[in-house]
Amino acid sequence: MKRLFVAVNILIYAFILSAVVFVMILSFSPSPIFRFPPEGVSLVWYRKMLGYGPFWDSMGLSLVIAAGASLVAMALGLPAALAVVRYRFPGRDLLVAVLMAPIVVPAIILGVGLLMLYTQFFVHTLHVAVNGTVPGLMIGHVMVCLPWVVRVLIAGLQGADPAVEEAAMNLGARPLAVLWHITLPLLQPALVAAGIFAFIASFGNVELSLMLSVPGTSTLPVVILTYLDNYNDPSVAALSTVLIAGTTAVIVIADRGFGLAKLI
Amino acid sequence: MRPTNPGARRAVTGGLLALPAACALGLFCAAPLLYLVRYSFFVYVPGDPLATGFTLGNYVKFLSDRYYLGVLGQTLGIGLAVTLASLVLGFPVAYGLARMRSRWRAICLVLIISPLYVSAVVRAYGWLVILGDAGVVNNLLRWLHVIERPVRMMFTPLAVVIALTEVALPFMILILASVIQNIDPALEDAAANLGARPWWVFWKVVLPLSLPGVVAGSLLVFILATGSYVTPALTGGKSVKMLVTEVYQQMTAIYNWPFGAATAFILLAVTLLCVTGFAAAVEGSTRERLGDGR
Repeated sequence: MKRLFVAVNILIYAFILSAVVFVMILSFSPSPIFRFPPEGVSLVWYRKMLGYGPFWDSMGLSLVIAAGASLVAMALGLPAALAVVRYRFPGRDLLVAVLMAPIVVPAIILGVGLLMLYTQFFVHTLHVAVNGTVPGLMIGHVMVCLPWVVRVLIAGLQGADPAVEEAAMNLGARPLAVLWHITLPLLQPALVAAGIFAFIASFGNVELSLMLSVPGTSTLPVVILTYLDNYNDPSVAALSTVLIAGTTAVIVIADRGFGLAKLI
Repeated sequence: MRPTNPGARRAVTGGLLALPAACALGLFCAAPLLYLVRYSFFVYVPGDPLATGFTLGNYVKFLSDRYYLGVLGQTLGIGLAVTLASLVLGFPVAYGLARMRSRWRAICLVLIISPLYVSAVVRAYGWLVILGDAGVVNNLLRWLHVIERPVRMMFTPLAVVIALTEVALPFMILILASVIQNIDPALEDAAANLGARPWWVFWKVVLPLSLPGVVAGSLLVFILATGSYVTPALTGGKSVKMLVTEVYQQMTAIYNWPFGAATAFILLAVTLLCVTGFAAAVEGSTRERLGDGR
């Protein structure tokens, strides 16, 4: 019974990892399709991927948008999380529900709504052109990041003992000093985790970018999607392997420094 | 010191702290959704970018057309299949995770979460690599001489269900594990000592006690499965129609935005209805079970 349970578990883990693992394997294949048994190892797709300009242009844009969106989401999310955990005020439960709403609403629907708002209301009523601009994209990405930021920061704040803050307050520290010298240092691991989650949520987001970007301002996942539509060769697999390696490195480093695993 | 003042002042401070996030959400999440609802009542004039007027026609068109109702049906069917598959596959993993010792636990947790760090586009591409006509499964079967010609798996509803299940599983596992963790293992031991077989212990002890996790996980997975675009678009191709792919078509290829808005709103409404209905049904049956005292 126990052995059967372990075997079933291993199969399910294999299922969860299979898509990512086979993308990595294919990236080293000499032929554009998967062959069994394999015919050898080659870096031809890495070379092709390095030479394809749009990948690198859009990666730069994706990094800028992800960094900007996570920073804004942190700036909005930290005070909101503080308010939810440390304060009592009318509409608090409603606020928690609303903060989580962008998770429940499919990203593509939010994207469609924003697109309509941008192209109709903003242009014709406010005379501001936001659609297809980097700020316009970034606003959408902030909405995608915000629930993850708030969720991680709320968990982090609930784990930090308010007695320490009260003690500092009783000893005469001003609220901002308490925030700077007590709350933020206590929250450091949660802040790092929230930042990383937000960054990854934005960097990997396709649905919103698909609705809000125009040919000049496509993010990396949108360019990958277009590339797959047109060429469908393992350059995408090579690029994905590089991205996976990069993300893993960031997470491992963050884990070494801040003990990220405890927060997940 | 006046006793009521600090509390009131704290309420104001709390409200002020929450204000920026609330404004941002109102402007760029609530307002777009409200605008989407308004847009779904606009009259579609081909070639005119600025929609105006008021009509119920977009909804009538959706609800009176067999094709769109079929798309709705397939969306719900795929959502349901993915939810069931995630429950069946997620439960053993979540149970194992919840009862694991700490060192292995961290490793398994990383294995479960790691796909989340990879973009949905890449993972959908991974399923193309595995299930495609020239993919891993077909190659392996041909090499083993099980089949002569490739079996078509890609661009079928099955491929969409498989790919969406892989996307949804980590969420299901994490939610289930967090609930199973809080079930005292002594309860299972007690049942086993009283002669219950492992399946019976699962059915009578573990499953009922983890019901809140089952409900929460199912709701999230159903929302994910019916709401994601990239996975069904890439693994289903043109032959699998879901509401999201239909919305995308209307918005980017046909340019009938009012109808696209109506379709999007129907998706949102149907998901919310299913979700609240399911939650209410489970709550009702739990109350019944508790009420009969056994």
